[in-house]
Amino acid sequence: MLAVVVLLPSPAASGSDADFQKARENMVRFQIKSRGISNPDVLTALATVPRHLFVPEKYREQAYHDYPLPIGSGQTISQPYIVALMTDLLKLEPSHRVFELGTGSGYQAAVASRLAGAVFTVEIYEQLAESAKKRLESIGYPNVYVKLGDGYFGWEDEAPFDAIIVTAAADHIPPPLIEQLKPGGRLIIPLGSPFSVQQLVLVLKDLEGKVTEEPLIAVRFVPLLGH
Amino acid sequence: MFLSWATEKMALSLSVLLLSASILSFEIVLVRLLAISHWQPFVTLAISTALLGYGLSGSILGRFKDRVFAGNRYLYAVLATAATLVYRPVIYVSAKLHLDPGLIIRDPYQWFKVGLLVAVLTLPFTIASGALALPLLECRSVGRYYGWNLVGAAVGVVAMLAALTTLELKDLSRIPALFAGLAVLAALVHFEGGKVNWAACAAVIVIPVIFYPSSSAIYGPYKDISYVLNLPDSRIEAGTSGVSGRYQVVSAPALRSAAGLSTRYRGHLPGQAALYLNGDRAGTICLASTPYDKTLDYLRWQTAAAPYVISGRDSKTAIVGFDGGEEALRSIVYGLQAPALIEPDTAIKDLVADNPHLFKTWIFSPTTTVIRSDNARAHFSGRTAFYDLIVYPARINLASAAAGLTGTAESYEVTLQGINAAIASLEKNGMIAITGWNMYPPTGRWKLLNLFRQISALNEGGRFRNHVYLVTGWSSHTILVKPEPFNAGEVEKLTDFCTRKGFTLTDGDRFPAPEETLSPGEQTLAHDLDLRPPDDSRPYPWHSLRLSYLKHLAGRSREAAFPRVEWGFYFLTMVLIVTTAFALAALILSRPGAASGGLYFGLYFACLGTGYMTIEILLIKRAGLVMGPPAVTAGVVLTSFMLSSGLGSHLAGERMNRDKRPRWIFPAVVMLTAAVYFLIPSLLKLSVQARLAALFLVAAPPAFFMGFPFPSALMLYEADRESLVTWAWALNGYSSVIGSSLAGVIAVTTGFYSLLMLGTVCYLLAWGLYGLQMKKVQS
Repeated sequence: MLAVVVLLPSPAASGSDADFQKARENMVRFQIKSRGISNPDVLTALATVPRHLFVPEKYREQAYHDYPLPIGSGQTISQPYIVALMTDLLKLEPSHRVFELGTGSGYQAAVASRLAGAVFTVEIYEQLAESAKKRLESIGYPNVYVKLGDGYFGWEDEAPFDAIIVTAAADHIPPPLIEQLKPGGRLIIPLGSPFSVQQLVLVLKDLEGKVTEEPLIAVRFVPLLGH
Repeated sequence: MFLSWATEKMALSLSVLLLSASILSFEIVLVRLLAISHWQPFVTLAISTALLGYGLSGSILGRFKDRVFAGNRYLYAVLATAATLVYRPVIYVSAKLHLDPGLIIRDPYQWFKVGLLVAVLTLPFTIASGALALPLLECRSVGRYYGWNLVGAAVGVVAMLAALTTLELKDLSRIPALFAGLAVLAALVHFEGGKVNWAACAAVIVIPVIFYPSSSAIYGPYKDISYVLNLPDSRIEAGTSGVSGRYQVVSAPALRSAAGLSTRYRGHLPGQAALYLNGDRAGTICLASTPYDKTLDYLRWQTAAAPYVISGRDSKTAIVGFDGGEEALRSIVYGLQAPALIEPDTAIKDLVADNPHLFKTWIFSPTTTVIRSDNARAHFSGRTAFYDLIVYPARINLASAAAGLTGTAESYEVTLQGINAAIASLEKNGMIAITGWNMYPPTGRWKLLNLFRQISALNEGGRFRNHVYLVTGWSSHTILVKPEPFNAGEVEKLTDFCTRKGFTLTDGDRFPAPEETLSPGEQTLAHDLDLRPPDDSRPYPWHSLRLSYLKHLAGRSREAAFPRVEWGFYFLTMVLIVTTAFALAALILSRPGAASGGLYFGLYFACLGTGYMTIEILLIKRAGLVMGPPAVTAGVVLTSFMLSSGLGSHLAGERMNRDKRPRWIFPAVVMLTAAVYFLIPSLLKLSVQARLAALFLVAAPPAFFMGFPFPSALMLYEADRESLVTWAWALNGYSSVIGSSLAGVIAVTTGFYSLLMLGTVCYLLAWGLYGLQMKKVQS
């Protein structure tokens, strides 16, 4: 009986555009706003980017649920709240150039592109990079630029960046990314591993180029579903 | 016939021994597979399901006892054959359940899957132990067969310890199948006339050895190695199996680790490989060619470099545990002489020796890193060497630390007595450095500071007064401890180091207390924190939540409570709840009617099951103090326990009549257990081999007497004995399930003295109940 209850699909995600729109609104209301994120631009971005198009078809009905989902190559699309939180912490503006380490499905880049001028994102897995590039082009995010490569070294040709977002958890901040961060810029990185992030760390570079770190809230990425 | 000399009983005894070896070896296979596919805390699941199988087999045999007695030798052979064939499919099916350990805390459906997993894993144990119980029905031989059963378990442990280091993981499940096949053969050779089917016998042996399909463990999705093997151009550079598990070295161009590297570092990192134990990251291997490689400069930009800033170049250094060699390399980079690396697992020494291409930096170093294959506690207690610097690197990987997976693992290195031993091994003006990950709240640091406050050499009136400093980076920290106070010059050097690297230097006396750190909304959390300093009776330095914290997961604040849950502790309590539910449900459903032996009988065997497992687990945990890898410790203690208990049971059943069975064995068990518990630390000063032998010997006396009570009580009953055997077998199994799971939770929450008390109470109660049963029988 318990299994049956748990496996019942969410009533708000049964397949039509209207259903997905409703699910998205519920997601913003119950998962993001209720947890204290109030920046209207971030909320609007989350409410407009069609997350269900960034997940594999078999997970589409779960796209707006409060957990991450597998996207192939052992990678995941983050929990909606984490995407919102990291975007909010970057304090993005329309003139900003953003670098993202780890494109994944392209969802985070799509959300950031709604607030910033341009998003440059690098993905190490070829399959993910190609599918994200196609997806972003087809949905219509012309200000997102996807490159296949090792994001650890940033994107030197496009540097410096006003904001850098590291979506893959790591035990250190790649020195090239700090180099490519503009004075006055912000970098956000989760400390831990993808299944057990303990906290988000915000790195600030002041106008003199001095770097400081600010540990933020304790947060654990919700484990992925579907393995 | 090669066995014509043997009596039928001897053949059956041999068969019982082999079948019992089969069960125990399958239990060890599951322990290894669960540690690899899921996480280490899941190993308790293997133990509980095995014991549950014993209980269920007793219940089922009790229910069908009328049919069982006619020709039970055939049933024995059928069940043993079924066990031979079922082991591998069970592993296959359990993998197909796709239990997702990462979701257990949030998703109730995963608990349902845990229940299914328990049910599936219990099946082979139920079948095999059902066969084992059958010979016990020959009432006059209860002691003999129960004894052979325990001796067989010891044989299984020894065989698996050897297999773990020699066989590939995929071939391990052949061992229990082979034992079971041999058990069938031994049982069948004495069947009369044409009933012996040699072809069938041969098939049962051949199947496990030649045709048995391999079972390879699949790394779970949350294992660090799963991510790395998925990276482009990753490859396995080396691998070896040791008793602790499966070591693998993986390299990938995109693999880069530099724990808590300063954000001011502008250089590059060297090529790296990563060391994994059972799929969990265990260290970083730098692939630079020489220790003069410029990329190794990163080692100077981590908080772990702090102790080297104030150590002289002639400082003698001891590094506790192998972290891939990064810490030894750091000491070489700073020009220190011949660091000694103290690592208990001998597999590491072989890994380094067999793979010189991975350790070029050591080979071309002007100094030699000495790997001492020993337990750090024993090394420091022996006082054969004195050091200027003793370093404890951050051996727990970030993922495990963040998830709290290691909270339930014993660590005797960082306990009150462990740090005292290290301090006693310091040269004058020597220093201890302990590195860890920054977690919020900083419970690990609070626990360690509370520990240092207990050491008189480090504080005056509760204040450290320059004996303790903390160097904190953005994600890691290093605690520096000196029995001689840090002088002004040293503090100045540390301050300069921290300023240049962007770290913070904090006097131990000024480190914020919980009430200063936790926000007003989090103050209630303070009540749920366990910040008692770890000591040898509660050696859990990485466990910091009380059991009471788990209640928040059911309350309205559950979302906020998730991030701080220690997953290891959560799994331990989950196993206790699930397996206890199974045991109680089975117990209630299978309760016999008139022939139940009464309340005294039931309580007696419940006390025995709980008491035996409590004492066994207590002594295994305690023995970790003097031995190295937990698998070796468990192997030595278990072997001693099973052999000695087997001998005790055999004696109780065969050699003594009812009147001669001494009742003083119960208090003897209690006194001997306490004596062994307090004796174990004194073994620390012996050599490794002597410690191993001594541990085997000291565990034997209490275990010998613990073998008596089971057959002794059964021998009291003349009437209904056949019915009572299966009921006693079931009760013993179910109470062992609860005892083993409960012992794990009690050890972590209240410590070993509570376990000792529980074991004592169980055996003293059993003593009283034995007397009551005697009176009842005599009347």
